[in-house]
Amino acid sequence: MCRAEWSHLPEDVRPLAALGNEERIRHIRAKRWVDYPHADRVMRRLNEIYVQPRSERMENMLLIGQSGMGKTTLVRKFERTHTVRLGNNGTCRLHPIVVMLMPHDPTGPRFFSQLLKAIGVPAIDNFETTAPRESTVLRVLAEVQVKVIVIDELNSVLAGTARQQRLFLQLLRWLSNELRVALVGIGVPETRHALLSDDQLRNRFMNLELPVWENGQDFSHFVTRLIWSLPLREPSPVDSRRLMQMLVGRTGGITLGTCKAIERAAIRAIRSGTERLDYQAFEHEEVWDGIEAPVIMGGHRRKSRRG
Amino acid sequence: MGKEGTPSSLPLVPFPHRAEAFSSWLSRLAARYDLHADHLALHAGYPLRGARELDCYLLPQADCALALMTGLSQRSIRTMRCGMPQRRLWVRDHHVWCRECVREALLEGDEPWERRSWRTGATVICSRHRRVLEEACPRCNKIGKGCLFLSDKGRVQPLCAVKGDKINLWGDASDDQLPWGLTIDRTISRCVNALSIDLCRSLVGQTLRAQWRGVSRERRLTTIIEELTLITLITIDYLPRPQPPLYWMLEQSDWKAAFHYTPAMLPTSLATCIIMLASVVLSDHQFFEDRVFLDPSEYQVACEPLTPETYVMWLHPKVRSWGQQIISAPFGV
Repeated sequence: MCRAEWSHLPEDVRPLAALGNEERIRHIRAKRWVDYPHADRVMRRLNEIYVQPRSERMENMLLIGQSGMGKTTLVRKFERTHTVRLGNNGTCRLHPIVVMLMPHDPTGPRFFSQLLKAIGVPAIDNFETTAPRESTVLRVLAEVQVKVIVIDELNSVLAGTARQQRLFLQLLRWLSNELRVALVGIGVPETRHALLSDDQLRNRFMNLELPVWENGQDFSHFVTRLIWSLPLREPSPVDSRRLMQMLVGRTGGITLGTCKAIERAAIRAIRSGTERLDYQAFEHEEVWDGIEAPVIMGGHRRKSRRG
Repeated sequence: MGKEGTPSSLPLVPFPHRAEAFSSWLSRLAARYDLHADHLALHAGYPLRGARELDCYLLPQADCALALMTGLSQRSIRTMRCGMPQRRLWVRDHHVWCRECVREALLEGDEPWERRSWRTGATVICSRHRRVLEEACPRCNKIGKGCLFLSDKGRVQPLCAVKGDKINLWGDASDDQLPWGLTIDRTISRCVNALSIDLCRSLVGQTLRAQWRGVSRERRLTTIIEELTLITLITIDYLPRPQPPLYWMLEQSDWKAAFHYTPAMLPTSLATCIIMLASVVLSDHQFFEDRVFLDPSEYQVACEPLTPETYVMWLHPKVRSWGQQIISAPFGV
């Protein structure tokens, strides 16, 4: 098979189509970034947060979305674009953006420990006796010139008691004031409730939602771009309305489910030798193993919209 | 931990100074995060020995992890070591320093840091400032408490570990005088430095730069200095009982047989005198004729010129013939 036949693929993917099956499958399973309008909007807002001048009252952001919508992937991409290495009087890797995972219990010492871990500071084994001190956290964060602290899974705050939640939100406010850094909270829609107990903090947060996909042009473009990046040797006719409806219906419009289904169908297409994705490729039940529409807050499952 | 279980890279890494000891750099690195150097060493995968013990142990796997954490090359980390495990008895257990060198570092806005050469008993005089290395804290006057190299507020600071306050290094050292009427001038300083350099080279198995009496392929320079140390200690009837390092003892099949007195176990003033005597008696003594004087009884009246012969005459009768053998040996390779 000659390369000219893979003209349906972008130029950078064509050499991959020449690889063997297992190598192509490995490539399909690897992480990739596909632009889409909602992500661009979030990225623009994140950049606005990043470029704002340091002040006593920084503008913060709460990015909410269903689990699997790619919130973490998005902020990791944002973090990667702003890491700088300096080399004066030693090595200093500046961390203007720190992406941390909210600890399972919302207490100060655990939060500080997690924050330091996020910038690569070794965790202390004996946590109970030597939890990191505030002064250490403030100094290290100032030295790496933090501007934005992104707290992933902020909804874990809700796991604490009402008092713990209040204290934790006070701690966030204090950290933001002391270091003059912006905060970006990431979480599921319930995260909004976490901020309710601190009016001052809530007023400083701009809410931004990463909505689930609906069947439309944006979704169609996203799926097309995603499939375009896969090294399949035949053109894939995937722009049919029926197929889009099937994808949105069975995944509930969740990005992770959509990507997983497409990856599995692509791997199956390579193994079976069909080398293309079409409606039939998604009709196999094994493509949908473990992929379900999300459960909405009331406990009802979203109505399935199978194509 | 980063990918595949390797420690993630550290955001703040001070560059090692030229000639800095590994433990000193590790302390400065750990200070950035208000950690103890031992903690950081453990995190990088070094066995639990204490960071200062690592100055004479090469552990390639842990060195590789530390290189990944810090962005330094493995070679840079390796060259910060100051001896081999077999020569562990030559490595000092406590901090020594040259006041002028530390002052210079502080004036440049830097932290106090330890030179590799200060870690071994081979070095007793600062080659740049011709000063005997100090070991007692100018604030509390105690030895081996870690004073002057304490971590505080993200940096290594010149603090007293006992009294907790800053150490004033701007005055002169309280006692800069050597025993036995010995004094340091330019000539003797150069000779002591030459011996120190060759001892350091001998500790890491490198070829020597100068010729010294009795040195051969079978008989190392360090062995001769160990013998001179012992016969001098017997003569002055001072045999300290140092605690040999635990890990060194564990590595020996018979540690008592392997034990030797080295200048690293002695107070720096006494170690300086022994190295000075050695530098004269093991080199061409005509060069020093009537230049170095010895007054072992410290009467300060009858200082006699230091020559190999006067040195042997001074030795205790029991070890005099041993001393004679050492000073009459031919110059080695």
